[in-house]
Amino acid sequence: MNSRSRFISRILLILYMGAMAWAALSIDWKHALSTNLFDLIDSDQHLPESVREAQTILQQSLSKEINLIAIPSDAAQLPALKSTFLSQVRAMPCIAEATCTGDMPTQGKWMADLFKRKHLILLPDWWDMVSGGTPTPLSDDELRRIADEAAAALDAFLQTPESTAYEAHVDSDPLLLIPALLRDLSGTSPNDSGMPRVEISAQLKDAPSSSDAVQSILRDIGLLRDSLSEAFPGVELLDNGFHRYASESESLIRAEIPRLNFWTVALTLILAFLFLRKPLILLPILSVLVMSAGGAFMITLLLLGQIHVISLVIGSILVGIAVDYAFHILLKREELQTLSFAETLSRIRVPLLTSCISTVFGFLVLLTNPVTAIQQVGWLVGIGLILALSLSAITAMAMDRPGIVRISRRLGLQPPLRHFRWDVPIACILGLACAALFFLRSVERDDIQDLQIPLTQAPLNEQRIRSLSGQLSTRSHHWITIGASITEMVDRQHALFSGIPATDGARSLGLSSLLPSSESVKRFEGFLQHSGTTFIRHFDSALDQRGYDPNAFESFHAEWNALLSQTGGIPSREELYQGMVASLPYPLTHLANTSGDRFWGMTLLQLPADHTPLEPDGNSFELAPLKTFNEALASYRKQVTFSVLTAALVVAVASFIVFGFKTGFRITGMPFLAVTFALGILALIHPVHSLFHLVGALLGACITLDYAAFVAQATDRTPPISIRISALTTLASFSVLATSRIPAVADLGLTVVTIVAMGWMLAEYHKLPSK
Amino acid sequence: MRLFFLLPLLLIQTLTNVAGTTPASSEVLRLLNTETRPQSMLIPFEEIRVHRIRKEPLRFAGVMRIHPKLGISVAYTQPEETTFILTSGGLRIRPAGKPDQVAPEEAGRLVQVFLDLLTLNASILSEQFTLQEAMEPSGWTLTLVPSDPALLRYFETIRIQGTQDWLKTITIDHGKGRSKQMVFRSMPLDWDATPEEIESFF
Repeated sequence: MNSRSRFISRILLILYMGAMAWAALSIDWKHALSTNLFDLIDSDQHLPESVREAQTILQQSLSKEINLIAIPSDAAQLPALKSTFLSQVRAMPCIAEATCTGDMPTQGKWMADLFKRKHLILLPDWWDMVSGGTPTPLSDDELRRIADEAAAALDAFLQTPESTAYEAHVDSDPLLLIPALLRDLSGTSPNDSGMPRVEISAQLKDAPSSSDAVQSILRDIGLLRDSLSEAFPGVELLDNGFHRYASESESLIRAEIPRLNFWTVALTLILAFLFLRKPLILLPILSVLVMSAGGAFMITLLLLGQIHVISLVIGSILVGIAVDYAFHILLKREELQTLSFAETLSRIRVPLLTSCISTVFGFLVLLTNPVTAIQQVGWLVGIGLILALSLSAITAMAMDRPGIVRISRRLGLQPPLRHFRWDVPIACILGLACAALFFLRSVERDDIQDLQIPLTQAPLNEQRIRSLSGQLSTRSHHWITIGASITEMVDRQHALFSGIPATDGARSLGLSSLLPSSESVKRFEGFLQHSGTTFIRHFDSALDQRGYDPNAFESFHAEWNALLSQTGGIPSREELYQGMVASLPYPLTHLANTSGDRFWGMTLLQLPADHTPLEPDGNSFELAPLKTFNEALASYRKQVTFSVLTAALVVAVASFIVFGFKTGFRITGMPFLAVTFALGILALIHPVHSLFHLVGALLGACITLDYAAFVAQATDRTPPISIRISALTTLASFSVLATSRIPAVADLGLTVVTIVAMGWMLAEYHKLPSK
Repeated sequence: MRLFFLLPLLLIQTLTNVAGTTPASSEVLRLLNTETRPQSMLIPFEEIRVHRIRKEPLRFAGVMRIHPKLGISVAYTQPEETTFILTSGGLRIRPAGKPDQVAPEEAGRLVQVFLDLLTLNASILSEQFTLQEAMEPSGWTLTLVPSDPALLRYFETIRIQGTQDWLKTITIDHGKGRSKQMVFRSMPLDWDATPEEIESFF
């Protein structure tokens, strides 16, 4: 017994615990865990650079959007409820801005500019509408018809009681440009379901990207609900936004982590009770697991600053793999406790190297993966395994009374089987057949939503809110359009959305709903030049016939004449547009924005649910986080496939060089066969493959490579007891993952289980006596 | 007939609201205030809108309903059916066959200002209006002139004419050749409101 090495080991354990305590105090626990799905993946890579910033800004902003709906018990309460509700929402600590749906945005310079320059801005689109957008000059009869219809529209408008709202302005706007604009804009609002309610669109001060932020929002909404109920008994408050999804997702995942860890530990303990004669040996094993898992978590947090809860779920596999090292070292505890510290390090160098080359190497390869969640798993498990190996050795050395760990006889069972003839060629043919089956049957599917437990409450809540707004038959899409100027951006928006027939039930709200295209402006200027004077004469005549005094519209005539003669201090359109855009208030701020020397604008497009999706045209892109994430995942899968195949080739070549042809062939052949067999089986039972199956295949291959290296180097034909323990614990932990409610985690677990099972069978077969 | 029944209508029709009244010492006001008021009532009305762009005025007609608890409902029947509902909470507009539209926040605030005026509170009235009244054998005239420049944006004067305790016309002069006149040709009727009517008009 070497008391010096025991002393050093104990000191090291104390230092380790102290370091972990220091780390625990240094970590910002409030922001340690992320629940934001957007944090899981960098989806910008495949988008043009000009769009990335716009997408990032808009995505962050949209995740701050929150909808609040108050439904009074009595419709007569609506006006009072509206006022109280809006003022209370604005007073919420988490809210930056709020406005009632349907109300005009805050008036200001942009509205003043729009009103002052209504003819310059709105007449081109008006002319397109009444003339059918024809570029050729119209006949005198056509001009007369249009003029008569315009006068009739004015007369009909003034016959409505509510026209009193605009009465003071009709002499300067007899073509009713502003009322028509307001009607068009309100057309993009949801259809009304008939339920009396007040709807508020608000923007949060901070995106609900952390658990703390989500809880704070929910707390504020709870207080708002209490306050409204007090003022308006029976009122119902509904809320929807990213926070609802984040909250439910987080609570489901938080429940998933202990469940997975519990079953992993429980199955490991059961295995230990079954196969170890002295179950008390489990105490140091559990200590090693707790120290290594806790250490890996804190070191990863110190390195990365934040871990997504999904990474923690996948990281549960650490426990299942790390227990192998603890078993391995503690089985040699008696021997280790007689060695010096240096000798011990020398003794564990072989398993350390083996692990680093295979399992740890496999996890470290994940660090090159573009998917943030997988990178985090790489750090977490890679660090955890190194810690588990080191702590197992140190714990074994630090223990007092050396004892012999006895293995159950059940583990040494020798199956009554022997190698059969032509096994290698048959295995190769079977492997190729399985690979062919996989490629023929399996389909590709990458879905970011596989990374979370399917939600139930949040989608139901959204469904209810959408049904209240009459939105069930439509879907909202956010599009980003880029341009060197506002004019160019608006032209591109017009070009993109002009492809949707008006009869399709599609509606759009963007700057192009307000500003005309350059083509429209050209057509209108052509009309002005050719028929402007004639038209206004016909219009005056039509007004006169309908009982109006044309001379009373002098301000309209003055503006028309200014447009005709291009006088009267008319600013350039681009200058006017930029001035208006700069003063747009919330929630119109996203209609135009700048990114470097370019402009970008968002268009809200409402399409019927069964409408054909709109295709990007190179200047406009849909902001569809799920779609973008899925495309990114698919592209990453191709990159990762290439990396994995390259790494496999490198490992194979290295095995041939290090171990020679015969042993190298066995070492590389076993994982290859295990993977192909497993893929064949998966093609039959679960014919879908995604990035997470690929990651599972990589991990399974690394673990199988471990087994192959062990059995291929041994010359005896005794049963591979250590592989049996390792395989059982690994299968136990990954089987637990295969039951996860997170589809991606379940896919990963199932893939690893299948490959490790195949690898174990091959390792067992290799140890069978020859015929 | 009560002044407070009619002022909301004026307010609605100017789209912004506001009304003026008189100091409580006004003879006319006292006359109106002392009348015995029925619980609920309805009264047909005509509205004449004059605009300098039109050679002839536009004419509207409808029925005003007053409920002491719910507020005032102004239901236009000609030339289109549209109901304006004014309650202590603000203003709602109900076009025929369509859901209610709640007036914007700013309008709601103005409605509240107006409802304060319905109390005929002398201090509030004297802050925002000056009163001119004339009593003649044929009837009386009460003219409200806004003293608040913000109110002058919407109208220059409100002139209320009547005989005894019966109010016959209200004329709002918006200026620039634009005015509205409400004409009440008959006395208010007691209204025994049914639940269906309340649902329809409030």
